[in-house]
Amino acid sequence: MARVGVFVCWCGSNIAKTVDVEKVAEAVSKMPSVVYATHYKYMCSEPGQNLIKDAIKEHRLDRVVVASCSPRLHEPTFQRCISEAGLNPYMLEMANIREQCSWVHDDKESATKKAIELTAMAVAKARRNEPLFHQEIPITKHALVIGGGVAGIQAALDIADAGYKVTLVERTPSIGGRMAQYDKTFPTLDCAACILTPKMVDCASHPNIRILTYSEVEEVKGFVGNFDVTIRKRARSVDMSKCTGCGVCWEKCPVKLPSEFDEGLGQRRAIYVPFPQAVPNVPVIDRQHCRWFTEGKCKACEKLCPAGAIAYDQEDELVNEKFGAIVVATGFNLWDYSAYGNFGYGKYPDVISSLQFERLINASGPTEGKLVRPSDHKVPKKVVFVSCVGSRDDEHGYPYCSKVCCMYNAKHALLLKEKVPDAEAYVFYMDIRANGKGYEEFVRRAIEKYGATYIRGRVSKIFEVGDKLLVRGADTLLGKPVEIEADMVVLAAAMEPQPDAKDLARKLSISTDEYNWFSEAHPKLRPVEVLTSGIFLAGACQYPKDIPDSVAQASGAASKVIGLFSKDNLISEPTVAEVDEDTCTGCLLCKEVCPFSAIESKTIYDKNGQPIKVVSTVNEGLCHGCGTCVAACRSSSIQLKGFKDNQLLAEVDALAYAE
Amino acid sequence: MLRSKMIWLCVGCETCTTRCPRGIELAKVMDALRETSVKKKVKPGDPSISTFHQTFLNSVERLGRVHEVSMLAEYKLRSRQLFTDLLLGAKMFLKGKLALIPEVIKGRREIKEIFKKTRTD
Amino acid sequence: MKYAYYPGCSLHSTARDYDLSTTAVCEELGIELVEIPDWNCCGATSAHALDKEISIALPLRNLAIAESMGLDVVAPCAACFNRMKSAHNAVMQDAELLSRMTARIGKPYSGKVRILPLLAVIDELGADVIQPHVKRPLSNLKVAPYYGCLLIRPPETVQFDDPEDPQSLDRLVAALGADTVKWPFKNECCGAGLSISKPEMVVKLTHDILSMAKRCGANSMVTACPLCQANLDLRQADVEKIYGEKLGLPAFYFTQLMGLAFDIPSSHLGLDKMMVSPAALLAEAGVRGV
Repeated sequence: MARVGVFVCWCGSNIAKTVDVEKVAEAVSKMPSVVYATHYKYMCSEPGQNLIKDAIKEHRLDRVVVASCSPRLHEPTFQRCISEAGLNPYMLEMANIREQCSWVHDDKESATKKAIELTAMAVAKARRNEPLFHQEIPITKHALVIGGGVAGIQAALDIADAGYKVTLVERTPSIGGRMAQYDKTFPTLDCAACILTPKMVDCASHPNIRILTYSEVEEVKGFVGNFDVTIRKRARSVDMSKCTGCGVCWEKCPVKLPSEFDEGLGQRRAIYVPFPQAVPNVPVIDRQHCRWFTEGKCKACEKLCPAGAIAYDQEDELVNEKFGAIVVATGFNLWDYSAYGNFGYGKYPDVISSLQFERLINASGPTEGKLVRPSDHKVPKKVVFVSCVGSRDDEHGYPYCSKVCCMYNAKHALLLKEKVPDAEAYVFYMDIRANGKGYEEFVRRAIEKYGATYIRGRVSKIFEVGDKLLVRGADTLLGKPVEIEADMVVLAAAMEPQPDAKDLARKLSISTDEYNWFSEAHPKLRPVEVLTSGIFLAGACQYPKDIPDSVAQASGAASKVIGLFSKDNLISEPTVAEVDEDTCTGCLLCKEVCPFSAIESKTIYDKNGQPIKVVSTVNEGLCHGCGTCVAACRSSSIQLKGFKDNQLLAEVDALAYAE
Repeated sequence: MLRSKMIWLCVGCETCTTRCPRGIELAKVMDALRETSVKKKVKPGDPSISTFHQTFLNSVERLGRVHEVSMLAEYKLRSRQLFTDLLLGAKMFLKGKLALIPEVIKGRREIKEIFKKTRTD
Repeated sequence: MKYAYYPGCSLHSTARDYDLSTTAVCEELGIELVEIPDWNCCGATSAHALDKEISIALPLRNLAIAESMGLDVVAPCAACFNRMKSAHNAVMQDAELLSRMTARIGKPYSGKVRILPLLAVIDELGADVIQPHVKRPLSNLKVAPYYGCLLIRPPETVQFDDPEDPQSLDRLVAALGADTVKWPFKNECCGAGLSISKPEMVVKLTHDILSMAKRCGANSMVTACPLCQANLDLRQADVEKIYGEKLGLPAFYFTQLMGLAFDIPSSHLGLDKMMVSPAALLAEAGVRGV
């Protein structure tokens, strides 16, 4: 038999001015199971709390109702109070007769009646409360960072500096990502490699960071604090412990093919490092193009390697490891602009993408920084930069804005003028989005100091005449069509997610949006988390982003990981879902609707090992207690602890049958 | 806008519709503006072009098909461009490109009905 | 293969050569063309320029007749094809419009017929079917394929070839043994129906097209539209005079090129009707003495 104690608070005059507190206590004392009811001026104060504790002992109360302010304010206070008196903290119910009663009504009579009803509802629920207990979930304090670009590198460094172990997985042969491909960065015009490589080296030499390059995440199981991840370390065909990075092998390799790092403008060998400052400075053999692997010939690298580091018989290695948290920093891809028929379907060699332009002007690029046309290696004197190629384009590309192109167009125009002072730079734009620190000034500088010509309008057609490219567009400010005879055209192609983003999302059980960008938990308030606990986002994989924002977000994600790892165990909220395995039919509808991927199927076996039935089971570490599964369950087999159907229905009944 | 030359100069080549990033059917917008300007009896921005279209449709309404010779003659009279392309016209005639005798379809009445219904709607 | 044939007004007068060569070539290929009885003008540009509903009703009447013939429609003229396809799409997407239009034309229409430009029918046959008929490959002809506008735009309406870099004429010309020229103006507008009312504009646009074709190495043009051919051919003399450029680019219909390759007599191809005579070119190229 339940023994309920009800404590009605005056809250000074906050409640008492509008609610007759004594009358409430008196009315409630007559309710079933209420063995003690009283009122006091300030229930949350020390004497007030002592009042409750004494009453619990004296009247052998086994559950308490406090009618006062909002539980958001003092629920933890009173829970602590009753647990100090020996009760389970979840044997407390609160009736909010302040924010939801005295503070919003004027008429004392009806406010008092309402307060009585609210308290009656709380009593009805409290009678059916059960003790609930936290679970402690151990945390493996080892973070996994997927993606070795600037965001992944920053996140890894921050977590490692806080004293935790980090494994950084990168699928290309070196970390560095997109930033390593850039020449100079806006708005400071820092050399990208110069500011990135120190961080890359820090990662490599940090005692807490293990870098796995040429590796990919194969499978992810488990949950926050306890992810069970399989990583495939692809065979480099080079023994990392022996290789000194001397470079003889890739100098002498006879196979040449287009370099991915140079966006197809330069060449690499079958055995290669992607760029000179690669970390680790150990080459890989591209087995699909290496003569030994495709034809059984050559082996020049093995013959010439002074360290004997070539290892053709190396095999992929599967590494299985436990991690407590995962940071996703897999970056972006550039949209294939060859979909634009009016720009030549990608057939004109001197119509290039912005990334290709970065490689051309970069000292470690295919032309060692000499800006020349891909077709005839002449220096271009007139370059047209086209904005919004595939961005803000519902019909042919993506409707969103890629955020960084306005800035890098200004940067490219400026760098063009620096390299080729007598060159002319034309930028076709619809708007200029320069909304970062120093950004607007930077664009102004490109226009005013370096003389870039900005034309407001879109480009309608680009075609070749002789060795020139004719660019036809509109100047909407002058209201005239424009035709420019250019030597080179640089297209600001849209940023898009990596082609396998959706696959990775599936492996991690996280969501993507309609374009396959990873979905953050809340676009405004939770930009570095996802709905699945323990997984965090950093950088452009979430949405087009520049370097400052990527680095900031990476540190944000790292701080979340550090916060998670700062505890020894995760204390899970006990107000989570629970399955009654007797009545569960195993339809698994709850699993489908759970937004936090917290429900899984479970097979029940008899003592001979034969399966009896399939039911669903809740991972309390992941469950957020949202109740969606409860609404979906057809047999009411899944319930929210502390908010069970019978508790809530009792509240409704109490209200319905009140006088 | 309704008085502009632009809506008459547009030939409906549909390049705009094909390339518009917002999927706007600009050529259809031009058609609508033209039709509206005619309904509102706005003086056409380029009278020679509107006259041409009207003359063309007159021929269709009368015969069911366009008889180029009579249509061109009517157009030249209406637009007072009597002497342009005369040499070209002669050359074309000599090459058998101009049919002097108009082709009249049997369903002429149906065509007249089509035009009449539109006018009375 | 049997089609309801819609020649359109110009094929019976200024584009008679297109009609002649179409008939000859289709006969050679075994394509039976049954002219739609008592067809009316599709309204061309002038109808949709002034009155949306007339621009739908006029072509719809022809489609309704073709539907009663139970045959798919083929139209050599790009404008007629575009207007018929547009009218069909418009009534198929709007049931209320369909009932109003069928009432106006006094005929039922349920949209079962396919509507094709003649070039699509030929393209569908493919090189394997065309090449066995080629008795005189058109070597030494450097042809600039000119597609114009309404054949390939807007892509959602016509659903034929590619609007920015179409290839159907290129493929056909290659199958006939001629060289195609790579050039950027294959889909630029020639000024179309404004040839009469704004000839100076057509002269400019036509000049740009012809001089670009010549610059890219063409010695002839091929088209799939009576108005394109008319502008490139009939106005070429004006272009040469006003711009002081010698062009000398005969503008063929693709059916005429096919007829030349199939060794069909010139009288069946209407070659003598071309204002810019192809005689010298064809003789020089060794295709035939006209």
